[in-house]
Amino acid sequence: MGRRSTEGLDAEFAAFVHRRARHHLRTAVLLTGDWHTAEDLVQTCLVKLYRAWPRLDTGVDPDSYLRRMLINTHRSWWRTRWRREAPVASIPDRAGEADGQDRHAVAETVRQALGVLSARQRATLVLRFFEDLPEAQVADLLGCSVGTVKTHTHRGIRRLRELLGAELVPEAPGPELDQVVNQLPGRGRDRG
Amino acid sequence: MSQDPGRGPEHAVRALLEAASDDGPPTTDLLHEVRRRFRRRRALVPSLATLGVVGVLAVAVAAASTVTGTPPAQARVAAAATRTAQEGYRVHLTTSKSTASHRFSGTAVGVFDPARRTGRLVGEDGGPESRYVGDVVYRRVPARLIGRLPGDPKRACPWIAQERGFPEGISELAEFGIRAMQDPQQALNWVRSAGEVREQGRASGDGWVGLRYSFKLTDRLWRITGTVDVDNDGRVRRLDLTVRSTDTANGLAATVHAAVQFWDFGVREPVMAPPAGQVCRMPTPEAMKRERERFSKATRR
Repeated sequence: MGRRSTEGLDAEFAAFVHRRARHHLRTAVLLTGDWHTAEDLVQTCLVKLYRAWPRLDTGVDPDSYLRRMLINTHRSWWRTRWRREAPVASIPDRAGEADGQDRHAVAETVRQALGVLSARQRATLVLRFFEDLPEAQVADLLGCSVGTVKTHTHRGIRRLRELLGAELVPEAPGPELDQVVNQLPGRGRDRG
Repeated sequence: MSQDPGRGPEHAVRALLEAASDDGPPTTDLLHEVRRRFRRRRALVPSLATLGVVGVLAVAVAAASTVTGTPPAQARVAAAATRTAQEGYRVHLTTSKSTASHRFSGTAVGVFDPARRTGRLVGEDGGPESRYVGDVVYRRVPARLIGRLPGDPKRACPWIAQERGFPEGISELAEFGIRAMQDPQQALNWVRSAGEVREQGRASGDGWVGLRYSFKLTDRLWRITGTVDVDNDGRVRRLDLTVRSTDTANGLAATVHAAVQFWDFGVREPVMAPPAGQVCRMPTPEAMKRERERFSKATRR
């Protein structure tokens, strides 16, 4: 890669942060459970990324690099209990369905449910269904096997169903229905 | 947040995760904060080379904390306790202890040199003196008790030696005064391993400002709660502790309050063990119990 000027690197980094930091902040809040800690986590990782930015090959996807740092740093915090998590035994009454005026209450309820999951289950669900990563990549990030990812996914969904109810986390449809659903056009997830 | 059950749990989880991360603060300037943290870290790194071995651990924690943002309360307190426990310091100690049948209180001043593992505490108003040398603490026996202590009724030793530490059954040794909190190094060790550390707000004293933290520590027999003041240089300035014994089954329930103030960091004063001929070993709790039983039988006759 050609040598880039300091100003150019700074501008590249700033552009990356403006473009992608919000998405990673959302990932972080799903991992940590609150926005304050999520911001701390993302800032911590962005500082590391900023330091590494001049050495990053242009072929390296900074999103992947940052995502790995988020997972590892959060795991490190969790292990050392720097950010003490206080899982709740039960979830408070969730906001009413279609309550568009209280988005925060809904989000908080779901984050509390995520907080009850084990850290591994939570990370697995976030990486699989928010980051849309394939199981092999999740396994690589978490340092486990694909089979373990499947197990965490299954148990994590089951636990969410117990906490939030089958209305919000329904049982898996039968294989026939699943096939029909998957064949429908325009049903893919719009991630923007 | 309605879901179409026909689309299965995975789709539902996707929607839930979207909803759970869609209420964030709208005006977060992450880039500004990242640059600020980066500059702080770069400013700190050169100073590492100028520090001695003693401060390295605490500074390493501080440096790491700078990279990772504001260090958590537990890490700040642990780093402060570590740093303080490695430097020389003077202390002022106020203690009170209450059991079902006794109540004591007193104050002492002292100086500790962790590098040499020595220390001295002298009770104010003519109170007892303790000298800490290595793993042994020597306690001067009050004149009125010389020759009358359980386990040593005849030798009349002016000093009693015992292992430094915090033996179980300490409540039975109350004849020697309040021992539970008479070792600031031990207190710092407790603080270092304390849990549930919470920042409580600002704190200040003579020539320093800092923050106050609350903490808790429990083990099989004891429950310790308290606050610790850490100055802006990362040193412990004040400890307020309440130690409660939960050993009610053996009649050892006691509550000890202690306030320890630290200052004059880096001070070094020599502390010598008393002459060997003036020192007796502390009798074991079993020996003291036998002595008390013998004394009790003798007085009933």
